[in-house]
Amino acid sequence: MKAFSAIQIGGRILTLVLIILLVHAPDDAPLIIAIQGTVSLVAGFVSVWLLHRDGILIWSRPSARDIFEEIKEGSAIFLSTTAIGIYVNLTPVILGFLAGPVAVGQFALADRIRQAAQSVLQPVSTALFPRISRLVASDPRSAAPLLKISGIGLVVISTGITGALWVLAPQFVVLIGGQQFAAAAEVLRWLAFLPVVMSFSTFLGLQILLPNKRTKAFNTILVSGGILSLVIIAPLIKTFGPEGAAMTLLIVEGFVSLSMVIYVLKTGYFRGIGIRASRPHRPDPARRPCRLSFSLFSGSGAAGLRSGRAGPHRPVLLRRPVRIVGGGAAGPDGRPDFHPPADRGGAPVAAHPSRARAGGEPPERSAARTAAGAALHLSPRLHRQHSAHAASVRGADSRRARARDRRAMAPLAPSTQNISQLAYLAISVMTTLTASVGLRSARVRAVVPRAILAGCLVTVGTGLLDYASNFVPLDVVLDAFRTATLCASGGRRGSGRAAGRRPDAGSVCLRQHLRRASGAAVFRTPRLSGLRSDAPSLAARLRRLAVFAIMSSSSAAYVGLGVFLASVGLEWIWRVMRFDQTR
Amino acid sequence: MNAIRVEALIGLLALAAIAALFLLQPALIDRIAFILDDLLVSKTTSSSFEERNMWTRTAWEAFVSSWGLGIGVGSSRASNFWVALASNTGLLGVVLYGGFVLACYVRRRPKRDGQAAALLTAGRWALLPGFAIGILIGTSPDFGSLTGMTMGVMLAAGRSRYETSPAVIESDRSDHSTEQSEISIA
Repeated sequence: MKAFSAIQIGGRILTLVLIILLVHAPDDAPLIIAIQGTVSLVAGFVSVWLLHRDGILIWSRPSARDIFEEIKEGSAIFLSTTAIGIYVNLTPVILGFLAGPVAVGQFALADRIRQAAQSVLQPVSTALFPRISRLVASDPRSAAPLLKISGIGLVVISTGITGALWVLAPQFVVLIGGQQFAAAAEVLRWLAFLPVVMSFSTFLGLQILLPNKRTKAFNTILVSGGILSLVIIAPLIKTFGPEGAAMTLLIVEGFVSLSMVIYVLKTGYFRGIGIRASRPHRPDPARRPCRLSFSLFSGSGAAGLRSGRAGPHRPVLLRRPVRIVGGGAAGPDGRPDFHPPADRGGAPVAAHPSRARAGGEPPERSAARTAAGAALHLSPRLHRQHSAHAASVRGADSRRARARDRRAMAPLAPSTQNISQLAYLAISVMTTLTASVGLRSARVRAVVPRAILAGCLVTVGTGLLDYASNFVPLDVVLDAFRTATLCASGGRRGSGRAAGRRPDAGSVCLRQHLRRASGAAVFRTPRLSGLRSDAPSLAARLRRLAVFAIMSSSSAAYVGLGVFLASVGLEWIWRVMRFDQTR
Repeated sequence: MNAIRVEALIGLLALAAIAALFLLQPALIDRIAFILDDLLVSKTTSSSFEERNMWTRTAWEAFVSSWGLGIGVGSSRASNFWVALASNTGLLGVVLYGGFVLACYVRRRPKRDGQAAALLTAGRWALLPGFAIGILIGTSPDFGSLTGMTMGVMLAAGRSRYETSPAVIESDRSDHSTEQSEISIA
């Protein structure tokens, strides 16, 4: 297996090298095809020769009946491939016919970016498909855990890809296609949903329907998708241009995935092999705050991301301005009014002075303010270029005034700062949830100390690398990985704010307290079952903390160190006083 | 001699050594006092302190002027985690996050699972330095992956006040062992 992997990887690298060395101009396009074809051919010959040499592939002359049987068995795949080709390959052709080459260029670029991002999933499917096929055929129940893992993995990874593509669409498009392709960002945002939608069809189609010989249903769904594509593609392209083509793909892939989900659920396949949709409910009221927080957090984020720039030609779905409607009446005077940061000398947001008065406020104004507050809370950032208004549409206002209010409403759009902070917060929230759910098993929890150590070492390493960039020209490599930690110091060199110092300190604190709580003495290894200590002693940890404190110019590091020592001392006293039962 | 007595002895010896060092080298006291003064006490006159103070003040104003609703994640920066949280997510966010932290702290130690009890206790203590640093220099409402993981571990290891069964679920163990074997084969 290693040899074949090496051949595959070597072939890809060789292709890349040859293209870089030999292709210099647009006229060299045929050369690219020749390079790719030749390298693939050579890799194929070498692989076949290796199979033959190891006795895995033994040549025997096939009979006509064998050939017929093989073609008959494989025809199902050919049919599905043809059906997929209808809505995948024909889309740019029809787009070019109806909307012209510029639209095709935009669509092609966006689709290339989507395919490149989605190719991350390819190795997973390629690696798992043969094994799942064998297990499903021989022992479906033993395939269940692997199906579960691969299904969840595919959906989770593709959701990440979708999120990244949607959020970073403008940057990707400009980076790869240049400023002239900026309009393709909107196309990419439609296509961005494909990875997560297609993950369902990939999982259900390739890992369940085909291995279970449900090729008829598989083909029926795909052919139906192809027909649906032919029906809707023309009107959508005529109306929306290249975005219409992207919408077509999304609708068809959504139809295919949904059909497969319905088919598999109706046939009761998962129940048959012992996969339950969910675990039995175990009431745990203490987790309610966690669920509530997460729901509110994700809801706020989604509401913020849904908003975007609106324009006369962009009235659809995702670009519709967020509009919060209050229950009471409010005229222009009663409408809460918020001003952009530029008008406030950079300060984020403030209520209009005339509305800042407290006391004696009529109820309808409170209602309008509540609506404005909801808008403020649900949107990561209200202000980009314009003021934002939260207005009531019912009440004493005239129809004309309400229409004016609607026109005056400005779109709510997140800035890159909102998105990046939301991403960081999302990582932390997800980490918390993952740890709280995934570490319920004692066996899994046993790896926690080692995981913390690994994270600690990586953080120390990156921190040292960052510090080393003051003396060695590492910025070319490191700039791509720098985060807001460094931005907080204004990007200055020599500021001593090494990235990752705080997490490392946290890791050290956790490890120390873990040793202590697990019954270990200061300089001894814990003997508690399942908790292995492979970290240095307290003295070594203190040395490491001291090094980072010296590197830091922040007094907070010293305070943190002091609190850490104090907590160690307090914990020790606590244990001496025999308050702690774990000792 | 049990571990606690050994530790007590080591602690006393360390204190004695430090006291002896200060007695033999009195200049050390001045030097350390100077460093502490420079880094902690005189800090309030530094430009960094003023700048960070301004962030916190502005963020707090944003919180107040938005009627306690906050102005959205990433819309303001402070030098105090709780102020940043308040200005970004509003009073609601502060209450929910505070409630979540509290929920982590009030988890009960499982009596028959020493490992889980150790993790819960470790988490309770280990979060304190992070909270202290956050109050001083926390710029955003992001509490960080490590804090999140620690709180997640506490939730997983501890038992709810309303829960009667141990946190360790035997079925999870068996599920996990099956999954592990499948992963390794795949």
